[in-house]
Amino acid sequence: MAQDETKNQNNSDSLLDDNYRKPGEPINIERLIEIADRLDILEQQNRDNEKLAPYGHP
Amino acid sequence: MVIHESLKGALKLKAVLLDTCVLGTIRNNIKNPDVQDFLKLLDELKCTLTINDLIKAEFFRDANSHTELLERNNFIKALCQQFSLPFDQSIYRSAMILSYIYVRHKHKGVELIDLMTSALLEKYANNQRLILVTTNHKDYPLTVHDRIGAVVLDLGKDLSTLGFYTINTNKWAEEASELRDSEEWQPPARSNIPEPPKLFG
Repeated sequence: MAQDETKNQNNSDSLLDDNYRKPGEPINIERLIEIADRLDILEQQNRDNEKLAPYGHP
Repeated sequence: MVIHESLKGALKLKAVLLDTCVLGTIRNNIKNPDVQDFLKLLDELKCTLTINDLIKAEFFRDANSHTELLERNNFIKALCQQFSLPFDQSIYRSAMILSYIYVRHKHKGVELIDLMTSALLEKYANNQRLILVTTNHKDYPLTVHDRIGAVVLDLGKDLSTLGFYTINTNKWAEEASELRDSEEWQPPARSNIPEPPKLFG
């Protein structure tokens, strides 16, 4: 339960147009950095996987 | 990062449409002080940061997994505010007319997504409340756009020049009028060949 709450605070599992930054809510640069870091890791994993299996997902 | 006072004034309380290239610049350089200062400035000016559905699709396009897609979406949601800019038939029509205007001016290679974005700017051009920011300046020629200012971001290895664009409705109307009256765009004499759909309503 606690894990789920943390997940909801940090992440969205949905592509729905919800949880956008609210009007007047300042841009949270730390949050953008966290997401960008996670994207960097995912993209590095993708590049590594491509080296292992260049014609698709391993 | 240096920003002219007149551009600050023009941006205050406006909706700022982020082009995909700008989204990418922010995402790839979010730890850069100039990028952070730029975002803080937009906050101070109470700008509403937004994208449209095509720009969102372009930002999602190269995702390699569902997790990556969700993270890209999280990035957009953390950066932008929900601000509906729906595409309707009038925007498709304006985008096509703009493409013919560009052909007359020999502006080649402007992608459909950029034509649609310009048409969107034209639709919401009232009081210049919607302003596009992009690094792809050639995609928004001054034939129908006004560049209201520029900001240079020092990204370390590279410099990125952000241009801020609105539609000049007078130029747009003039260009559309010249196109409509041009010899090339007169409907052909009646024949047995079915006529194409009317472009100018």
